[in-house]
Amino acid sequence: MAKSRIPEPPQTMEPVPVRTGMSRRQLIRSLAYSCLGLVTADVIAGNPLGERKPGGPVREGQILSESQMKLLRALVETIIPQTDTPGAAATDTHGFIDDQLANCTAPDEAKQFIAGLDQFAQAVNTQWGDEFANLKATDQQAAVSALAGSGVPFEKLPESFFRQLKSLTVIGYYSSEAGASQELVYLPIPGGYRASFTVADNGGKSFSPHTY
Amino acid sequence: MIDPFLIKNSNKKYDAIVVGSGISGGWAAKELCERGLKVLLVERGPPVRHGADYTGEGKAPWQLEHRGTVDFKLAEDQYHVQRKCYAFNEATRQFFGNDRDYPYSTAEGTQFDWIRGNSLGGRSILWHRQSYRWGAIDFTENLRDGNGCDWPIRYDDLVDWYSHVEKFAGISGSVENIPELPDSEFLPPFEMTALEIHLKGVIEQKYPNLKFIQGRCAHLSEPTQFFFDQGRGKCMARNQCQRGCSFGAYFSTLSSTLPAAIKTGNLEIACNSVVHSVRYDENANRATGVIVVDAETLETREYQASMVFLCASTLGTAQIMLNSKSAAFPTGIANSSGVLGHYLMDHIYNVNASGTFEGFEDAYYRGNRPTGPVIPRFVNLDGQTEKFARGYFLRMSTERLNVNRGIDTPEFGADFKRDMQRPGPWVIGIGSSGEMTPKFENKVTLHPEKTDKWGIPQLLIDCRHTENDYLMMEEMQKKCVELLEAMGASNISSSINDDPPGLAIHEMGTVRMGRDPETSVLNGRNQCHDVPNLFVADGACMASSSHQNPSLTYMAIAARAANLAADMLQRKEI
Repeated sequence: MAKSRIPEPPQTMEPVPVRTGMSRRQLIRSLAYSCLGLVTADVIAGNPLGERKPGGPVREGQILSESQMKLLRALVETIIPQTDTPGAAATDTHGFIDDQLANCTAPDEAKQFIAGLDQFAQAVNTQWGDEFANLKATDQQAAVSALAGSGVPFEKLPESFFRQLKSLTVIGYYSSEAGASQELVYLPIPGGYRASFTVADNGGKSFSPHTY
Repeated sequence: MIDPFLIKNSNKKYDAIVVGSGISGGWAAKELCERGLKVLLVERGPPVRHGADYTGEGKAPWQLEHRGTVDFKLAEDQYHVQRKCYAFNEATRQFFGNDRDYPYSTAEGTQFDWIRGNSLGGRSILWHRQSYRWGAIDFTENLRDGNGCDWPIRYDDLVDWYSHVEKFAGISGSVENIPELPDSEFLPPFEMTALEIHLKGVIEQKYPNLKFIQGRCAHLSEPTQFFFDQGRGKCMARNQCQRGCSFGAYFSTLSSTLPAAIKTGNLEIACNSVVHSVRYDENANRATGVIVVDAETLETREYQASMVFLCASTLGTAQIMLNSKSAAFPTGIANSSGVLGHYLMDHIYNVNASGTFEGFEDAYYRGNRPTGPVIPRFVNLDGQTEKFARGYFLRMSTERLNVNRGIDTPEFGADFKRDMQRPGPWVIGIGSSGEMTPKFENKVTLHPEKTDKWGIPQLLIDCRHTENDYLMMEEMQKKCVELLEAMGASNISSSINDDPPGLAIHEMGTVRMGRDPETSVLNGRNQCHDVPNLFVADGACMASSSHQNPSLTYMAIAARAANLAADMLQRKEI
């Protein structure tokens, strides 16, 4: 029996499975909202810091080509941009995804994802006349928003592509050193368990996900 | 520290051989050594040194090669079953059995997920550490409803042994005075969160017959000097126990029973020794030792002893016994009854439910608590009133959703990132743990042709859920949803999955205890009816499975059996 080829989100508690994301129905409902253009204005308008784009040369990956890595770097940064903490590009989340595809994913699944990446690149080129990494931040956001809602020009991309991209980005970013310990609070040795503790005590932040 | 005691070849005749170094083997070895017996502990896996060999311990996710995910091809080729275990990852893989080297078969149309340890310490490194005494009802229910055979022991036979092992292992929990879930000798319980205190109030008020209590676990919540003297320390609430814990904060063979056994000067350890079978002397009607195949060189050797304790894990023990054939026992040693291999059970973990909880927005917790609340059994307590026999209890988790809630959503960008930075809403999860009734049809045999690389016939497992199990699952699902509603949860979802038996990792039975040599393999002292110096003191001996985690009961049974065996040896009865 094949296990899900997308890396499982790290389990957070004892093995009482808890739904950490949305149900399928909720997801579809949310997707429908984005298709209807109900994406929050903030995402479309972009955060001023989001204008900063990752630059510099990108290395060839283990399985991805240099141009695929460049595209992926821009994609993960659009999903989790730099704010007052590093974004997904600075934490090499594209490198994480490349590593997962090369080593920890069923070959068919990896191939499918890479095909999705190429299809995405092509559709962007047709629609915006340039490669994704060179677009303005607002255009990049519009493109990812359309991708998340399977809207124009990505109707032909399998729905699973965005889901896989999003999962890998979230898992990769928040398991990176900066994602876990700067953006969130990482406690290597809590020293004991305390139930009388508030969100305010933690500076308003979440702890990084627990992994067994 | 263990290295001076590791041996390979030996011509000695030991007082006792203990096969397997998991929870029960560790206890048997410790007790026998402390009684002055010379003991050889035989383990098929490699040695693991407490602390030094916990290579995944303390590593941050970004320090692991693939952030915790095991290489796909490696998992596919060598761990296709083990990877189904929730605790299987890059930092724990080395403690799991290798499915390529230790293959097994399942009967056509059936499936069984056999999660296995493979190192010194066995699954005591990997266990989930939930620790509950079984109640009096668990030892009388076979008699009451006619499923399985009557246990030859009662709760009262174990009560002192429960105390004995608890004081040494360290069990955290709260005193509750629940008859079907007797209290242990407790270290303080782990605290409940503000939400849990609220839910406890709601449930116990709405349901006077229900209790909402903190889960009991083998963790040193507040260790006393006694535990510091064992070289163990306080639980740091990392909840990455399966990587190994050099604080020795949870009970394992390596942190607890093995050092005690070594301290006596009476223990030797043979690692990388795959037990092929028990050597049997037909004239004397005695086991004389074990035949092993070296895990690395595939050479065969033998060890000899005055008695043999099998603690090789439920199915491991069954496999060794079935493969120990002689003219007297053509179907496996001590199998005159014909029930060896039968009455295999696991727990019913197939039902899960969860819901979110609005409120308590500022409440949080610090650290990863290694346990969660439970609702003890509340059905069929005074005779069968449900459509199904036996009972179940509910295991819970309450936590604030972390960033993984963002995995499957369409949101992205700076807003998304900001939103993820704060803890998400509270989510309450409930998982079932139900009793599988013992059935003759649920069994293991040796595969007629297939063997493993050591030339040992593969186990052929034939185990299915029964009608009783499905009726219980339906009821558990209904109850979970009802309780979540009563707690005030929203977005409630529930499911019954079709996992085959095995994944609860509570497999029990196949060498059951009983009063009648015609229908059971072991007597009330865990001694084979047929072969007086052969003992089975692991999960294989169980005549029923209760609904509660079995490891604490294995500890008590193993400690008791070892002391009774030492008595018999002293009296020259064996």
